[in-house]
Amino acid sequence: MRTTRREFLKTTAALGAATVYTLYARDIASVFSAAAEGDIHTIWFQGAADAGCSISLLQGARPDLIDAITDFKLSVDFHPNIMFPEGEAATSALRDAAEGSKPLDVFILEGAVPEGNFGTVGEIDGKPVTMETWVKQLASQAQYVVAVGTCATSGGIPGAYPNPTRAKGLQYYKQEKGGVLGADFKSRAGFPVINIPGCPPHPDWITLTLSDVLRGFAPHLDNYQRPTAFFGSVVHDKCPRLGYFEKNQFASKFGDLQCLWKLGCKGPITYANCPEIKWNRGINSCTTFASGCRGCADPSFPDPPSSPFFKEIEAVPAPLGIDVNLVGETIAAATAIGIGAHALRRFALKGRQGTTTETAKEGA
Amino acid sequence: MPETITIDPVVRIEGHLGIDVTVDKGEVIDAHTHGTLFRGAEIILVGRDPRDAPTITSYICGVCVSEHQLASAFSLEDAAKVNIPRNAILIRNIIEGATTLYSHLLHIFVLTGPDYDLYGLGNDKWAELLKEVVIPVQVNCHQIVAIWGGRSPHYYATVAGGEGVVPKSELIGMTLARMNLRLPRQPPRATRFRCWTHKLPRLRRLSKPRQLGGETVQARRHHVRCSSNLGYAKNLRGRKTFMVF
Repeated sequence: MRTTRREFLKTTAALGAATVYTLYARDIASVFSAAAEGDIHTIWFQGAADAGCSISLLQGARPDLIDAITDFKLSVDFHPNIMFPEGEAATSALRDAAEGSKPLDVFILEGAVPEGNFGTVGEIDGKPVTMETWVKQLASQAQYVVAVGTCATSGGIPGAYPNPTRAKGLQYYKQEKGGVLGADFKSRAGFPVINIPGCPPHPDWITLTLSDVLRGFAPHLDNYQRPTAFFGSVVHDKCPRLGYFEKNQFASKFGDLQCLWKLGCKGPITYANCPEIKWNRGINSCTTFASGCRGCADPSFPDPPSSPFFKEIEAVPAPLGIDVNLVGETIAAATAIGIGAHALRRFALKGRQGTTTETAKEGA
Repeated sequence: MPETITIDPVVRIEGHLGIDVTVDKGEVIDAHTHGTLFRGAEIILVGRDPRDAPTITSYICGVCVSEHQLASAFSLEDAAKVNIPRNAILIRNIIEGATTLYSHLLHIFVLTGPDYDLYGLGNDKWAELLKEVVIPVQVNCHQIVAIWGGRSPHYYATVAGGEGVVPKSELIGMTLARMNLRLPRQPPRATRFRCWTHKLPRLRRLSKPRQLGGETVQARRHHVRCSSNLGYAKNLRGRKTFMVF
């Protein structure tokens, strides 16, 4: 059966990112193995970070971090948590890339970029070099620039009010475009900064985006430059507790299984597919069985509207723009009518065919 | 002539650090460390809803998430003068125990071991040990945290006043299943060393026998047997044991 291009795209979109991995696992592996021959040079730089993004990457699977680095010889020229050379040997790797004497294919930033001497890495001629300097030089040399984590994307925790270090993300500060590199920045391959928010981001988000980037094209990005494959829908839409929301049943205390709206869940305003792909190889997610979404993939995290974390959302922004109580009641009423109609139909059928001995007692 | 050596950045740590060492005739006569990053977590916390503090404080570190979150929750509970439910203490112990286990693992094998050639790690065995032992075991420990917290790292179950989850038998079963870990293949042999845990004072019974529905039951300690393939941590009786706390 022939399908049109439009139908094919709709089908793949409907499959979602979870199946993308199984569908394209072989492709991803082959991309990373091509990287072994080509020796793709990456620099993973940490700004005002906490290393949570790197630890999250270690939880990934197919390929995990070690597969990507050792078997496929992805040349990670700089990663502060795992590299062996330290001191001047480490900064020489950065200097070679910043001056252009060694090629730099992908520049990955984890953590926000604080202003001036609030954050320095290494020394040149006895003077500390600020993170701002490194980031600007390396980003100008890289073919692709990827911001991993909410901090690198839009300021995150160090950039939270009152932002004592005047930290910013690479190309955004909260919802404003700008950041350290400026709104017009384009990497050498002609793409803007690819943002992978999340605090920390799911390892699949990072590895799948990197495999796209290594193949030579940027994934489809939304208006915050995040890949729409992972950030195209809100947490609320894929949450397993959505049924309770539609029946207007809300949890009143922690430990209840109903919708966590009234306990401050920020699922309705946070774009991420966490409940779909789950965390730590399919174990759980923050709304599946924990105390709710904190909005960590939102550009505003941890400032309002993603905080206070335990205050329920009152003003739901467009396109949701609906009153939760009204929606719940309407859907509940419709469901009740549907169930009633179905029961009537069953009862009527039983009476006519007379197939069962249990008659009025069961249908009532 | 004293000479000052600067190591900046120090690698295989979490965070940013520089060290200056002044050496004269082969002896260290002075040393300074300087933290090369400031973020201001305390300043960021001022003026916020206090219940947000455990979440924001946990982002000080992405490895020891649990410790910062607990310290923050403890301070809020002390300020409010509340005692948290016993179940919350047990869940916090489980998360903290799993966190300590993977922190030790990461520290010894990935971060510090290569510098001191611990267990022969200062060579190419490092990558192999990482792949065969460290990655599967730390994924396992993170899964235990995710079972009770929602995800790992940076989980959201610890709230001021207790835990935001209730224990269910499925969660307990899933956690127990991850405490008896068998590695799939023979990892490379690390240097043997004598386990010293047997020298700790013997712990009293963790619980006393109770009546439950007419019969006497008693909770048992769980010994996690590490696989014989690991080739280390043998006590004097030749039994390979870890104590999980």
